[in-house]
Amino acid sequence: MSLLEVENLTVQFGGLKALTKVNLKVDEGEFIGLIGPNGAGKTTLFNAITGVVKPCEGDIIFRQKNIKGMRPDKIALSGVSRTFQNIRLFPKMKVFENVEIGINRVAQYGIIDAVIGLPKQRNKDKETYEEALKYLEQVGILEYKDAYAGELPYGIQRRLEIARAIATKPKILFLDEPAAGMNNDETNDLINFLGKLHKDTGIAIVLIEHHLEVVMELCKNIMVLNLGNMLAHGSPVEIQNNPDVIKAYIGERRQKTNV
Amino acid sequence: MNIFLQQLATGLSIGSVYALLAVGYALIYSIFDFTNFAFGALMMIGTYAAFYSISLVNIPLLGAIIIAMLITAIASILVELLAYRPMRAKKASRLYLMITAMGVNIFIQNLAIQTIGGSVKAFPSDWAKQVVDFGIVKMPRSDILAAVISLTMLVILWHFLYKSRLGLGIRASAYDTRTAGLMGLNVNLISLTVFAISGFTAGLSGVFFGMKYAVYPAMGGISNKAFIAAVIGGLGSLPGAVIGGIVLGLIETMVSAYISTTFRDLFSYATLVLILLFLPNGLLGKSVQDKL
Amino acid sequence: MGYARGILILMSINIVGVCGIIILTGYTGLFSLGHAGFMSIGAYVSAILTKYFGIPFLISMIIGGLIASLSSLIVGYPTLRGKLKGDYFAIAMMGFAESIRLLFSNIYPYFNGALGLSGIPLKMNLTTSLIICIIVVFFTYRYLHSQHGKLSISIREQEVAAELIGVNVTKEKLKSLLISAFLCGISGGMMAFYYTYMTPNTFSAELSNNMLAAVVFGGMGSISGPVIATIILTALPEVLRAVARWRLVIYGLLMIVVMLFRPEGLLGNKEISLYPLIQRLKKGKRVESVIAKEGK
Repeated sequence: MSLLEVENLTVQFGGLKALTKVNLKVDEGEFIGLIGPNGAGKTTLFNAITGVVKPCEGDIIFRQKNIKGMRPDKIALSGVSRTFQNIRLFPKMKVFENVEIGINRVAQYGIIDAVIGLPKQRNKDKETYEEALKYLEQVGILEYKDAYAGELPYGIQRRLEIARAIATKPKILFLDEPAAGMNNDETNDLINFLGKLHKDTGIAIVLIEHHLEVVMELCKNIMVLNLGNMLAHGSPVEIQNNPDVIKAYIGERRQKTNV
Repeated sequence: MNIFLQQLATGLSIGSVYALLAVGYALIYSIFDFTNFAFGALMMIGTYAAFYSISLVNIPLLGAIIIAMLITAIASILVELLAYRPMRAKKASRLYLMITAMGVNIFIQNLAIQTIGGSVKAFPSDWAKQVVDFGIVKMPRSDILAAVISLTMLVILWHFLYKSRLGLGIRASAYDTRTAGLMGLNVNLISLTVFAISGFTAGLSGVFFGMKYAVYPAMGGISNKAFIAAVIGGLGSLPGAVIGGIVLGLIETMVSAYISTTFRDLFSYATLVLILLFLPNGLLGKSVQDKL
Repeated sequence: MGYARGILILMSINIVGVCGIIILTGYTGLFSLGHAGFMSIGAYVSAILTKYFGIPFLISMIIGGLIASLSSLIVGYPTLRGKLKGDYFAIAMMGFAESIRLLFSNIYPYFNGALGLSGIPLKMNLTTSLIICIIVVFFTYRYLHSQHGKLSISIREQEVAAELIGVNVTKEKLKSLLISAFLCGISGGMMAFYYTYMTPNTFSAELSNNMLAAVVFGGMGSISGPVIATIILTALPEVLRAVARWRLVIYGLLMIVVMLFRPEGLLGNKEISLYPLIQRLKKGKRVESVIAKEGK
């Protein structure tokens, strides 16, 4: 059984069909790419799976349970994690505190314990702090631990978002355009970083990216969306040679030069 | 039956003022996703503008109403230019915007109390107090005026929003202000127009409340009814605001007549809680595609 | 001396209430204009229990706080769940406070309606109120520096991301509301046992506004900031008698100015720290010893 199975997913906003009968399968530890022109519905797919929008048709089976329409925080607790196109960190919290929220989304001790301050509570806080530092080290930003998240350089913020996401110990991680706004060097760093992350943690990753070299390099399986429909599905070589995919992308490019 | 018709008439009259007030509030909410907590203060400005026009300068009632509308609209625009727009430019959070609006409200209201004095005054119009006898129903002139002018304003507003270019721009902005701006709409002009219209409705409603009840600096509290009416109809929807206002007016009047006058406001609040519990999207709910 | 004593007691009472607003608004980011309603409930419940039923004032104050807390669910449950924006909560809280005022003004058995409740035993002396104040500030500090506080901040900062990480946003918001209502209820009880006379109008919008002002000026995300602001705002009207009546006008204007130019308030999300002071003292000692050595 697959880790995640999306079947016949349809999402509609008023008169607009953002996703039409989309299918997706992700196995444990797989690294999947999700590409497509702007407006194809990629982020909408993420939003539907993570519970931000409710699909009108179809099912989302995660770990043999249908999570369609479930509350987002419950979905997250079941092992789904994500990052955002526009980074959504907690700006006025310190870097390590951002990660701590990922570790403890639910308070591990009661209010009375918190106020009295028994060793049990102090130890839990210490454990959480040390665990947070471990994740910071894993993504390579340990030196920033006491900085405020809102004041970080862009690339570091992206890494922090990923650290926070993996701190939730997810089974599947959805990354929404992590390379956005990066130059070639930064993009190469990101490719290496994500590759190592995937190898070290074994988390299944679904990656939306416009920097196609990232997707082609890292993903064994790539899915192409266009205008809410699944256009193609296959290995990087298959996708690159797929005439429909080429048309969807080049067609778009031609329109851009006209404007 | 006669009593019922009487209450119905009164309820519709007060309901149309609530509808006007709710529309003024909902207009800003639907475009800026923002609750103008200073709305009540603006309403108060309108009442006092009319009050002093009549009592100090002897301007006839209709003239005073127009002056009230103009002065309130100007005040509304000033608040937008000096406080709200700079905050939006800073991309301030929802919380900060609410605090700013509340600050404006506290400032204006207390400035009025300290300069004018907190005493309650009667609206200086004997003409308005006179009761007209329709046979089955009796209504003071002020109630009739309120209903007629409010409904007229709502119709004019509807025409403006749906039949004029600027109105189209406003409706487009209600959907997506950023895109509307990028498409070439003069977002600044639109925001000023919206705040001016909101000011008109606040000033107008203020005059009617002053006529019906009394004139006092803390009367801005009545604007809470606008919020409640807008929520009952469906927050952000203008048709919803109108319906919510009329429904609220009817509920209040019926409760006043058949249950108790003292607990009238309590019932309005209970209605709010019930709607939030069972119909959080208001009476018109999600079925209203068109926000406006 | 009795005059200063009175101001200190008032400061303690205000700080207790402000701690509630620190938790609700400063840390969780929820905007409420109706917390005077919880003070009113706490005040009336505790006053009635002690005056008419002889219950010891500390116990009746706690009961008052608990009932205020429970009543917050009337507003909290419908408005803090789901995708409802914070505006709903703010509007509902305004209506709530007004409804409480109306309700209490019209209940005559025990409450004495609009005439007000008098003859409440005087139980707040300097020691008692200071002790309560210190306990509450300690509680607030410990609570907000625990995981609970951090969850609250995450909601204030990025509600969407917090929920998608797995934070039960509705539950945490309700938690903040329940605690803030409790603390305001206690503050109300303290007022009852200090003033010994009150009417439903005592707990006006002005009270709610003052508490909000203290948090805005002192800094959202700080505890010492609003506490210091409360101390200053409580003392100021007494010190500046002449300007006192313009107090609220100034608060309103100041709120706008602070939001426009220094939204983080006095201390932002930091606490007042003696650390830099201690460092400077240490440096002073070092310089002294160097000079002494040179002198030889």
